[in-house]
Amino acid sequence: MKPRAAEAGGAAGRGCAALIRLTDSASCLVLASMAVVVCVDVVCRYALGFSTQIAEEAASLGLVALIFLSLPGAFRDGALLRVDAVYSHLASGLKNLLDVLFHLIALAVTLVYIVQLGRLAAGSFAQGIRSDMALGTPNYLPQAVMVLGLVVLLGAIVAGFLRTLRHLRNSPSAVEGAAQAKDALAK
Amino acid sequence: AGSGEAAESWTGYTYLASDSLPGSSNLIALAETFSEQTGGEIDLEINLAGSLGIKAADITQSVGSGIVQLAADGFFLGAIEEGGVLRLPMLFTTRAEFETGLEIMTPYLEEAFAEKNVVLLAQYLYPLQVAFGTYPIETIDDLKGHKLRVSSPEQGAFVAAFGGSPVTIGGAEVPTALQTGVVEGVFTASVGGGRLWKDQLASTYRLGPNFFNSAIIVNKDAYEALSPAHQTLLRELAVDYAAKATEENMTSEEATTEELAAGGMEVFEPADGEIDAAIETMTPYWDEWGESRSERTRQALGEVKKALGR
Amino acid sequence: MTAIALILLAALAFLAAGLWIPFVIGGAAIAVIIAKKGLAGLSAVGLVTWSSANSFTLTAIPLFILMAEILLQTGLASRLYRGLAHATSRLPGGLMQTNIVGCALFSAISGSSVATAASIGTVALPELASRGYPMRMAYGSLAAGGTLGILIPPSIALIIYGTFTDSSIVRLFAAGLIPGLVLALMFSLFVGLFGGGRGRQPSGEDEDAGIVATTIDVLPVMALIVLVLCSLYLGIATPTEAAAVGSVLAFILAALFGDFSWSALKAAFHNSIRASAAILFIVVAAFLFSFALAISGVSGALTAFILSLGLGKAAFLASVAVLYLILGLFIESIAMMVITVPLLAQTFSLYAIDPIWFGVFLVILIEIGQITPPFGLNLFVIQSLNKAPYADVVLGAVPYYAILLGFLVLLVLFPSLALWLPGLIS
Ligand code: NA
Ligand code: NA
Repeated sequence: MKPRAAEAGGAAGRGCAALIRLTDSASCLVLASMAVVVCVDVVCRYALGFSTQIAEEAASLGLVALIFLSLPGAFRDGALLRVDAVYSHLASGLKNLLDVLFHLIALAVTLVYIVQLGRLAAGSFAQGIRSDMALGTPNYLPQAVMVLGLVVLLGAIVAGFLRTLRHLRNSPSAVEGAAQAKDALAK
Repeated sequence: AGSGEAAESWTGYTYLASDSLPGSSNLIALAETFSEQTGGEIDLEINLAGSLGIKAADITQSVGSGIVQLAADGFFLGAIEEGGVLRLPMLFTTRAEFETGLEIMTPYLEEAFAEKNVVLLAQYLYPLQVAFGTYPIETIDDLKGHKLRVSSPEQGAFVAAFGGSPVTIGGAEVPTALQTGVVEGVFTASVGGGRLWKDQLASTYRLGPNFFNSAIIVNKDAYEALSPAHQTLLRELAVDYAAKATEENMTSEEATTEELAAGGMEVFEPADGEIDAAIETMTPYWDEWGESRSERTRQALGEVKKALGR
Repeated sequence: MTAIALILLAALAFLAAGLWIPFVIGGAAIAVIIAKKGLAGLSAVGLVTWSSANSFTLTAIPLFILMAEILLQTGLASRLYRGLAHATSRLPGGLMQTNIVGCALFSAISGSSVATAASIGTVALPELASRGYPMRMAYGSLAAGGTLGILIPPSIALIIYGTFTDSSIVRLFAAGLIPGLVLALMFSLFVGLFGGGRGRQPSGEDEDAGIVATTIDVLPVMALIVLVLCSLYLGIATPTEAAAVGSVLAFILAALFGDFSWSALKAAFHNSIRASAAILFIVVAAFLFSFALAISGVSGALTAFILSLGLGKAAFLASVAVLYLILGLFIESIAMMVITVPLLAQTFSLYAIDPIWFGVFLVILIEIGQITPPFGLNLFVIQSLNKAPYADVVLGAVPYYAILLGFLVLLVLFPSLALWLPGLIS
């Protein structure tokens, strides 16, 4: 049992790491492009007397991509904010149990986002809805990027989940943690 | 609800952020009357722009998918490209011309909305969106070389055609952008931005690219679930609301412009022939715009042009 | 309503237990939507998330973060500190003054408190330790000085506030400037009076490297501050655009004057996307949360409740302050703001509150929250920089609560502290 879970976790982790390298690089590229597109428009307007008219639309869509493509890496590296004043003082067994629960919640929330954004993107595609600005970008394109980022995030959460499960099994204090949790609930 | 059944709650929404504008106050009144006259069967609550986290451009889709049941929607061009015909610069120069266009376009809009699972109940209008500047705009040539805020690519084409540079910025930034000079003018009506930003504006030139129409729309499934009597009621209330909002917008435009003039704003009427010259300048753009649109949109545009003799 | 109250309580419990904040907020929103509209209501998750993420105003957040990161990674931020150290170390309070002035200056190019505290703290703490300054004082001055980051423009907190209330970002920025400078002055007076002297000069340091060295060290960052401000107030760029202009200028200045390298650039971008993801995922989840509260009638009920209390304006502001001070003990500041602002905004017209002034009022409450334990972001930052005992950092920050609270009272008594400057520009 143990080695197989470890193997699955390891493979998931490696696959995830490769994907996150991609989404991270894409995010950085998007961020740089946002800066350039907006700057070019400012310079054109101020110095050359015309506007590219695409800066606002392009930068906003860039932001959509940036948020969702940078999520998987942020999750894996523990960059998402949390209140750990209580958490950090818990015994490791209890922490492990909470970790399992937290990953399950994150998994469920992410799944809802994926399904709903997927439906939105499909709807936008079917109805031909586009931006009403100069580029007229079809909405399904950025919406599909959101889904893509969230799918990689799901992978990162699953990898994290397998890791916490492994911790839970290997930890001698798991039983103790469960007992502690029971006590806490009783109070 | 005599039967004791809980009222079905409907979410209403408008792209307007204030509840005191004709477009929003009349919508809130509609919601109250409808909730009341359905005997508490439907509880319709209007939410103002921003309160639901839905951008103006996404209202059509939010109604189609039943997130919002009823809405006032002025920014549907990304979903309903046919609507763009009514925003083409200089295609309509008087209210009568615009209403001719609206009559021709309405069946097209109804069909396009229906494809998005949306029922178009009625439409209300804003006055012609004319030029306002931080500097004196006396003739159309005064747009040349100036940075003007536009709210659609069609307005952008208008500004560019007369040698100005179109700038897109959000409504909240307009007053400071006018103050610091990021933009030197806007297209709006006296009852809209004219009044709101009067402290930053020095002049208004009463020629502008387009009128502005807002659709009152309802989710198709929600509408069809209503009893026939309630469907009729809702439609009648919407038509009534639209008529009131239109009249309030239109009638106060002239008075408001006079108020602005009394407050020191320079008001310039276009000279003889300026409107015709501007129409001529923009004429090629209409078909150019139609080229990248659907067959149905081009057909609608053709009918409108024919009816107006343009 | 009972179901919704239970959901909100559960969310608070998960928040306290340490679930990632965006998942707390997003999860609560999803649960409320299901409770109110059933599974069919969930289509709002897709549309509202898309609609709120697709925002030009919010693009300023990653771009301002990037600007500050470029300065930090290419060593321009630490040169700013060293340059200032020459200039200010003879003042009463010595290098403690440098901490405050450095934080205030860095705040003018950083929109975040954490980034400000981390940037100046990274450079300052080793210098302070080597010169024998009382470290508790040092921690306090850096944690508190860092909070100026969200008051002195640019400010991520004010951008988010402006997004939710649809107020002008330029006016909000202008409103934050004078309060930020006054607070910096108050901090500076405090360290001058109680800062524990000047510390020792480490041997072998040439104090008279003086003016030239100072100027060269401070110049790049000062140039950036001036250029960004000019672009904003001379009609060249909107605040959103100023962020892009600033990050491109930072890049150019770093290439000219900084320790510019591929790895520094990579680190700047990497840190920027990490920090942006952390903040913006919360913001996007909060939009969904406020949608859920609006359609479930909680927003309306809460506003009605506040109305029914019949509070005067002063009592209302005092209750907001108490609410924020309590929430601020436990909750991260951005999360606190995005959850409450859509609700509070409905009371503005009721109490004739100027939304611009209120933005500054909230930011100061948030600043207090950032340096109060147990959950104080800036306390964590300073602690993690120096592996300092948490209690020392907390105790060092205590005097600054008093200063911030005192300033809050000043702001209520003299609203023009915030409103005079924005009044000039419109
Ligand atoms: Na700042
Ligand atoms: Na705190």
